[in-house]
Parts: sequence; structure tokens; C-alpha cells
Amino acid sequence: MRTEYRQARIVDPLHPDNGRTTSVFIDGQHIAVPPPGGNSTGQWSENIIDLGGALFLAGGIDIHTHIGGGKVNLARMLLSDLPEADRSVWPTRRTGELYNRMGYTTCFEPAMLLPTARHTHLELADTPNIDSGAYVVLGNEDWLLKALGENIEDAALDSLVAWAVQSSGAMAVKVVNPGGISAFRFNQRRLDVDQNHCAFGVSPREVVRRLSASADRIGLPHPLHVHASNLGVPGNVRSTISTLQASEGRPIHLTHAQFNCYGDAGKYSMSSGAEVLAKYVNEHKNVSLDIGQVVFGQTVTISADTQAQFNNRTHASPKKWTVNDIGCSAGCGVVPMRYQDKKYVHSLQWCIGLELMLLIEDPWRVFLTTDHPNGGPFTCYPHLIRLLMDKSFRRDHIAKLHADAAAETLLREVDREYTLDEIAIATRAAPAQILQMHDRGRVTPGALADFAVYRQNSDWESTFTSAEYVVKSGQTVIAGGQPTGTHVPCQTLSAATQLDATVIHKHRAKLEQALQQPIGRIAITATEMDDILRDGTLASYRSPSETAGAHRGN
Amino acid sequence: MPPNVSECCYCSLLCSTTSDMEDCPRRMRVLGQPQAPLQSFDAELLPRLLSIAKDERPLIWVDSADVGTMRQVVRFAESCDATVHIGQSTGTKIQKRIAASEGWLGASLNEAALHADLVISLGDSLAAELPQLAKMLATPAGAAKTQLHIGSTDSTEFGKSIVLPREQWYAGISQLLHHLRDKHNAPAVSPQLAQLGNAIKASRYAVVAWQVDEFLDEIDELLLRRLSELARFRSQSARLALLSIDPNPGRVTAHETMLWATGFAPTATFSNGSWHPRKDLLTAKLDEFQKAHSSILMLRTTCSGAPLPAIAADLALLPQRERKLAPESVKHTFGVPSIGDKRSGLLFRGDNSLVLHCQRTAPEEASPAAADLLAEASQAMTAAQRDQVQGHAE
Repeated sequence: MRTEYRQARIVDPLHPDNGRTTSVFIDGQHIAVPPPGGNSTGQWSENIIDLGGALFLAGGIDIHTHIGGGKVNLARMLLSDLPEADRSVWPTRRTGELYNRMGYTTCFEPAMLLPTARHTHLELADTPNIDSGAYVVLGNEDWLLKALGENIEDAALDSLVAWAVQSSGAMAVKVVNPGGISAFRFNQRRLDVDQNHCAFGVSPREVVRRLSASADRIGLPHPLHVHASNLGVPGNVRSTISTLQASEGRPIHLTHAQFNCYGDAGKYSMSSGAEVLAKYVNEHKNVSLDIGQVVFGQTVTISADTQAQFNNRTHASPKKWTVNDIGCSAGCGVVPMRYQDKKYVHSLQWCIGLELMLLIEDPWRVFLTTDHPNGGPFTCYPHLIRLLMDKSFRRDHIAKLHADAAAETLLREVDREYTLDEIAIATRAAPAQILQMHDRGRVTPGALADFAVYRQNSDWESTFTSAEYVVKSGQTVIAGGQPTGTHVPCQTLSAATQLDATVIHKHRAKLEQALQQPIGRIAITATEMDDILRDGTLASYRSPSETAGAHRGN
Repeated sequence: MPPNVSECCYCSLLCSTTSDMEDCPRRMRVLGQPQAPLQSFDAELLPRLLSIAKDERPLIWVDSADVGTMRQVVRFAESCDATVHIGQSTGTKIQKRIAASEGWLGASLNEAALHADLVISLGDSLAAELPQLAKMLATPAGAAKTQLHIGSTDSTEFGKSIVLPREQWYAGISQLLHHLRDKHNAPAVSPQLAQLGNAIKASRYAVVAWQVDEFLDEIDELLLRRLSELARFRSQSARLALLSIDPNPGRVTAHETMLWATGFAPTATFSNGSWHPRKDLLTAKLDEFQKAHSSILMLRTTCSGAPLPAIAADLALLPQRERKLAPESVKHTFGVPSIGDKRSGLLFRGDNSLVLHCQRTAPEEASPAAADLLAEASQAMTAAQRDQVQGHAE
């Protein structure tokens, strides 16, 4: 079906007509090249929607949001008695609808465990009208840590990593507290970046170094996605920098950076490390990060980092929690949290997230997230957008914070206001680029017809809260701000990898011992993904870099 | 003789085949059930389903289901504003209550097999419900481990046996906890409990394991709360985690699927376009369920050999080989292909840490699966509602 959207004000830095009001032509599932003669008489399509100058952006892409899998389900179970207004974890259909309402059309679950990958994909498949994918968690498996401790050859490591990605249908590899979750199983309560695991003799630095190199060599579309050591610990900005240095110049992505950006100075022995981290990121083009912004109110923290969540349990609000070791590879800790602006630590966290967004200069390397739901629900993104774009609004909020926290950061002094283009980059174009998804994140001809139309209101929060139109793969899912009831077949996005089967065969016994299952039972085939888990198509992305050791840059 | 199979889902361990599987007593028990004659397709089946759907307050009672069937249960319920209830283990409810009031430290089967240096199993029904568990826990390649078993009878399947009458389990664990906390002032414990205490003190990572149907009443809840307290206390200096295993994979699967699809479990009603939890039915007995609903569909798609609740369902969709288990109160029973037998399906393992695709081991039957029937009924209901709306509009 063809449609012309007239009077669309383009907000896409990659579009030649960016900032101008023009027509966008949709043909089937894609954005079409404008017909040579235009469509003034409806000759190309009689289906014409006049947008009257409304903002026209690509569909939003959330690169890090916990929306599917066992830990999310545990959170649903634990918090099902909370009032609706306090809920930050919803059933899958509601999650899809809420994302669509905000104009988002692609999302990535960042913590998929190999044994429970099917569960993750099932939930993503049941989240309607968004393409989705997941990152497989590696870096705490007995078999992997043992291999690293024994200095496994690069080629063999690459095959094992590729096998994990392929078997789980993952888009990328995430490492969570490298080696630390495993160390906790051995009752090692702390594992700093250059400390050795008591059983396997390998340090987090080494885990990050080897895995980031492997992710690069095997051509994964996304750099190693790192939940760094010492999450939440005052002073952790130092170990965070060490973690980033472990990649030795290769691309590396630091996730929910706010939680790893603390100094230990001041009256409370906890201060902002944003200036230090931002400086490092500005100087090192191989580093990207997503924020993990904290939002005041009730939410729930869900993480594979059992070590951190075990420590976090004393702060649970309400007082309920569950922390579980899962499958010898990672864990799952669910601890509800209520962030309060009158508490020093929470106020400081709020400031640090915004500091990072505002101090890091390159909008192509910093992504707006709340690490949903850990910092707050994703439904708060419009509020965060306003905080970034409107310094007066921001300062009004700073005035309500714990006074000492505000004084500990630079936030009051920062004048920068994000432009509309920068918001489009941080929430659309840059996520597409960092995941090497060349068909989305833009509204140029040839792109997927995934876009959102916003009527500009008196403030940016109300503008971005509810899109007037949202189109997914050419089909309208939101019209007039309301769901249309259309169900669009969506895709599971995953990385195409190659591996040496002889390596897997050689390691088969160790893998099967660790997984306690034949590896053939764990692996998800393309047919299973299509026929059983989802009714769409399995879209595979392959990095354009085919040469081993080639570095990807922006 | 049991058929030659590649996988087994007759308990929640979801074992892959070995020659040992064919000697598994649970599998033999399920496969050895006397079977009703094969049922030919019933043309009244869809009308019966639609009749339930069109009734005022329909209830779908799910005894067990694979993911695919449960997805269709949810869609069917949404097409007719029904209530869905998963016949849940009381033991699972207890665990939820403890997590919601005190917190919960858990582990998985793999952890117990490979990392734990002490596994304490608890209960008299573990071997019967999960016959292959002992073998899994005693994985020789795992960490050298001590295995102790607390039960009311002597049993060597799970390691060294600590025999305690069931009515003393709570008191025993309480004494042990006091002893571990304050060995100087706590009363002396029996030699058996002292042995247990010493083993815990010497361990780096201990797991206490049981199967959920073992613990059902208020005293049992107190016992589990004590174990939770033990886990929290011990975890301050070493690691101790709890592993409760639901022996029924279809029950775990139904619960997980319902939770992500509706946001609630085990009981929720779809009305006014959204799902609502049914706290009023949390502690309801069978007859209260009966009174609250005008029509009932009962559903089971995995074989377990377990009896079904004596609820007067209008229609029960049960595995073909378990039709004889239908209570007399059920008005109509129809046999459907069961998962792992004549239908493939996705099931969760009983410790919730693994999801596997259990493949069918026999040729697919012509008779429809429960998921197919529910899908057809949902479509019919949705079409009828659309026609009704269009009719009003005209």
C-alpha cells in the first residue's frame, strides 16, 4: 500500500531535507523515493495524510531495556500487588503498546541467559508491534572462565562466543560484572578489575579484554556490551575507567553508565564521577555508553548481577526481594526500589545521569536509557527528553533535590540544551548505527517504514509522550494517539556468526557438563524461532567488517 | 515397554534420553496408566467450547499446559472475558509469600549439581516425584560435594540419611538455626543435627532442595520460613541457597506464560479490555470456584499421572492417555495429543532455569491439539463480536 505523508517536518540528521517540511512517501514496508512527478493529483497514491508540519522522526530504538525473560517475570510476580501507578513492569502486550505510544518500534533485551534464551524470545515475540532482539550474557560461565584462565587461543574462543550467540539467537554479547557473579558463587564477595577470580585465576580486565577482542573479530554488529564491575559502589568510576581501558582501543559499550560513575569524595563519601568519565569518553572515540538515568518514584531493579543485588536487598522498598543463582552462568536478582528526591544518594544518581548526557560531546556515542526498569520505567523518556532540552525546567528540578547532592555535581552550571536533532540521534540514528541496523533509525528512502509523528506541544515532554501516528513496517499502529488494533508481524533481530564446528566438538563435553544438557537441545534453530517462538522472520545482521581484527569506528 | 523416545517430560527434569530413562519409575507410572479407547473427533467439541465462552462467567481451569497452549488459553479468555486459574501448588504459593515478606535466596539445579559442595535434600516424596534428581545432583564432575537427606525414613538415594519424623522437621531446623547463630547459648542439638550443622559450617556453597508439593500446610510454611532465615543468615558469611522444584513442568509453564501474557498468576479475569488479578479467589476452595463461575473448561496437555481436581467442568481437554483420570463430575471429556507424545511443545523445567522444546515422539495425530481448538474458538468469538459491532453500527 502506498501513502503520502504531506507537510512532515523532517527530524533526521541523515536526511537531506532535515529540518524542512516536505512529503514522505511510503510504499509497502519501506520509505520510498519521492515519485518524479510528485503526487499532487494523487496519481502515485490517493492515500494522503496531511501532517500540518508535525515532527516526523524514525521509530525510536531502545538499545537496553529489560522487557523479556525470567527475571522480568519474577518482577511481575513479586510486584503484582502494587497499584497500577507504581508498576514499572507490565505484561508483554502492554509493554509493546506503551512503547508504540511513545513512538518506539525496536527494542533490545540486554540480559538473555543461554539456558533460558527461549523464555526471553517468547516474551519478546509476545510484545506486539516492535522488532526486538537480545544480548546473550557471557563472562561468568564456568566453561568460559576456565578457558580464559587456561589462556584459550583466540580462534577457539571466537568459536565458543559465536556458538553462544548463534545458539541463543542473540544480537550481541553482554558481560555482567565480569567474573564477579561467578566469584560470588565461590563466596568471593568482591572482585575488582585487576583481582583474580579465586577459582579460575582470571581477572575482570582479562575477561573484558578477551571478549571485546572476540566480539570484534567475529564481526558482531555491536561492541561488547559491558555492565562493569563494582556497580553501585562509591568510587567505582576508577574501576569503570579501568574496565574501558581493558578493551585496548577496540569498540566497547558501557551500559547504564550512571550506576558505575561514582566518586567517593565529600561528606557522604559518595560523589559524582561524571566529569571524569565524560572526559574519558570524549577523548576515546572507541567508547559508547547508555546512561541508566534514575527517575524518582517506585520502580524495581532487576539484574543478572547477583553480587550487586544481594548487597542491594537491604534497600528494598517495599521490603521484598529475590536473588537467585541461575544455571552456573549468571543470576537474577529482583529488588524493588523507590527513588526519592530527598535522599542524597538518589538525588546524586539523578544528577549524574544527566551530567553524563550533557557533558559527553558526541551524541552518536551516548544513548538515553533508564536501564528499564532499574533506573525507572521507559515511559519516563519524554520527561528525560525535556530535562535535556530545557535547562530552565532542569534547574527547577535541581532546586527540589537534596541540597548537598546538587552541590556535589556540575549539573546546575551546565547550560547545554539538547537540540531536536540530537534527540533524534540519541534515540534513533545512533542506536541504529551502534547495532549496525542500516534499515532503520532514519527516514530516508529505502529505510524501513518505521516512524513516529509528533504534534509539537508547549513543552517537549508532552510532545514526546504520545505520538500522533506510529507506523511499523508500513502499517499504522497508532493513529490519533490511540492504538489501531493492527497486529504487525515483527522480527527477531540477531547476529549472523560463523564458527569452527571442530572447536565446538572439542569443547562439547565441557559445555554439556556446564549446561547439564546436550548442546543440541539448548540451541535455537531458525525454524524454531520462526515457527514456534514468533510468526515473523528471523532477520540476521552481519557486520560489514569481514576481516579479523578490523576495528569498527563511528 | 515404554516407546523409544528422545526426550521425557513426565516430570519436570525434562531428561534427554539415555537407556536409564526407560527404567525411570515415574515414566513407567505415567505410561503404564490404563488408557481409555482412542477417541474419534467430536463434532460437538467446538460448539461446546463456544458454549462455555458465551456463558456469563466462564472459568478456564488449567492443570498444566505448554507455552503454545497457554498462549491460546489467554487469547481465548480475552475473546470471552473469562477467568483463568492455574491449579497451583500450595508449596509455590508459600514460596511467593516468603519472597514477598522476607526475601528469597534461590539456586538452580545446575548450581546444586556443579557448584554446591553441600546439598541437603528434604522430604519423603523427592525420589518418587523426581526419580532422576539424585543422579543429577551427584554429578561426578562437579565440585566434590557432601549430600545429606532429611526425611522420615531411611533413604540413601540422596546421600547420607538424617531420619527425623516429619513432625520434628520444623523444630529440628529451628534448633539448628539457633545453634548456628549462637552455639554458646543455644540448647544442645541432637547428634544428627550437629552433623548437619557441621556440614553447613564447613560448606562454601550449600543448597537445600525439595519438591514443592511436599509442603502444603501452615506448619510447612513455618518450616520454609525457617529455611529462608537459615539461607539469609548463612549467606552473610558463606553461600546457602534454596531450591524448590515443581515436579510438574506443565504447571510451571502455564504459570510463567500466564504471568508474562497477563501480568498476573495464578488467577486473573479479563474484563473491560484488561486483565485483573483475582485476590478473592487466592484462598478459594474448589466449591467456591464452582459457585463463582457459570461454566468451566478444564485443561491439561502434559501427562503427569496426578489426579485432577473434582470440579464439575463442562468440558475437560486432557491428554488422550489420561482421559480416565477425569473426575466423574466432568460432563464431557475429550482426549488431546499430549506434549512430548504426539505433539511438540515448549516446557519449563521445574526449577525455572531452563526452557526446552520437547519434541513429539510419535507421529502427529489427526485429532486437534488443545491449542488448535482454543485458537479456533477464539477466532469464532472474535468474528462473532465483530459482526455484532457492525450490525449495531448499521
